[in-house]
Amino acid sequence: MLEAILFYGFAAMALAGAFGVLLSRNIVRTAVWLLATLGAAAGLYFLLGAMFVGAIQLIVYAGGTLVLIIFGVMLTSKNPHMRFAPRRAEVAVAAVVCLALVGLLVWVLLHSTWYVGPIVQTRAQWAQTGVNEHPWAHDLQAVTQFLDANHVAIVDAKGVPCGPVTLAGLARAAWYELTVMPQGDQGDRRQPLHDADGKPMSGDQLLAELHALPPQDRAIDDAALESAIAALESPDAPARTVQQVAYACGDADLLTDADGDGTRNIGLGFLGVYLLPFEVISVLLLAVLIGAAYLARPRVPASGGTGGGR
Amino acid sequence: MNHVLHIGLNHYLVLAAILFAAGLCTMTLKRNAIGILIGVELVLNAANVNLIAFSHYGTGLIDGQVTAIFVIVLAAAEAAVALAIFLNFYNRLATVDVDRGDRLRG
Repeated sequence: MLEAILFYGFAAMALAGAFGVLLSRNIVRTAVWLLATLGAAAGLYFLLGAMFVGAIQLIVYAGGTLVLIIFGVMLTSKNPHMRFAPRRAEVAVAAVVCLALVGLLVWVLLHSTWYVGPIVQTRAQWAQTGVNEHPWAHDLQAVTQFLDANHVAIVDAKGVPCGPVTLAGLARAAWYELTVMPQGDQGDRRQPLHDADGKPMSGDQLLAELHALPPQDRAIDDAALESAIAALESPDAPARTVQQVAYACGDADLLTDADGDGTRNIGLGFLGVYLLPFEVISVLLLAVLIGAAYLARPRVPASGGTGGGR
Repeated sequence: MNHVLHIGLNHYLVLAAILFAAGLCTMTLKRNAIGILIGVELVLNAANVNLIAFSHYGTGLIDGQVTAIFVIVLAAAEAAVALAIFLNFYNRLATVDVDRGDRLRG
């Protein structure tokens, strides 16, 4: 209920800002309307659990880019209240095209089937969502039943129970033909499967239990599951980063860390899986810095005179 | 009623679609170069809302969040370069009306 109220509040603010940007003829007011949209988008990110991105949105976008735009307005206009009215025919064409685009987009995305995965961390929360129609839901159900029936707990290296999500993630890894790898040096994140007596459970045991389920309850391929478990059990499997383990096993603890947001994982990701894009972005920023400085330099007369800058 | 109160992926996608179209409309209708830049920012924000929503409702992983951060960085870089270009435009033509920038017309 609170989520709905917050969503509709932020959505209304974002749309009001967007239409303010669209309809305002004064460029300074347009920039202020953009601020409303950017702030509302940051609120939506917070609502979606993306705390770090929301904070970056406020700092970089609302605090940096918008100030840059305001500077641009200041520097390029002797009269900031100057208006440029578009022609009426242009308005008509743009309105028709944009309304058609909205209609098309909304129609397509409401008639598409998006995969909505298990984002929940506890069994009770999962039961509330009522996600049943997707194949993965069968895995979750089967795994949950299996856990209930056999009193099997999955514990991490510290002995803390991981809950059903990890085993479901194992099934998910098999579904996408990912392999679940043990973690290497930096902190043991490997999660052995334990049965109720605290003894490590073998992959064969787990497979036997999963095989015993009726096929319609198992949406995963036996061979894929077998290979995933073999990789998990193998002592000489190559080390993977925490990120990749989280990727493969979908562990809620690894993905969202203890505080409930993914900031830690974003940091790990930037220095791990996403290192190359991160470096490319840094090179791009350098190029932008040089390019902007080059573009904004004082103009030198083409005749090679002694005039210098302006 | 359940679809209205139970916020799901589609809510965010519809919102992002409307934001995208508003940004596109802004880009086409503004004759002020800074206004066009603001329209681009709206479009990028709509894409970011999609990315974060898919990250949350889709995989539950951080791919979408990381991509959104890259988009934000790119938007800031793009704004800096665009403003440098607009300043040059203004220095030459004493206006930021993009319809006046037709010097290359044959």
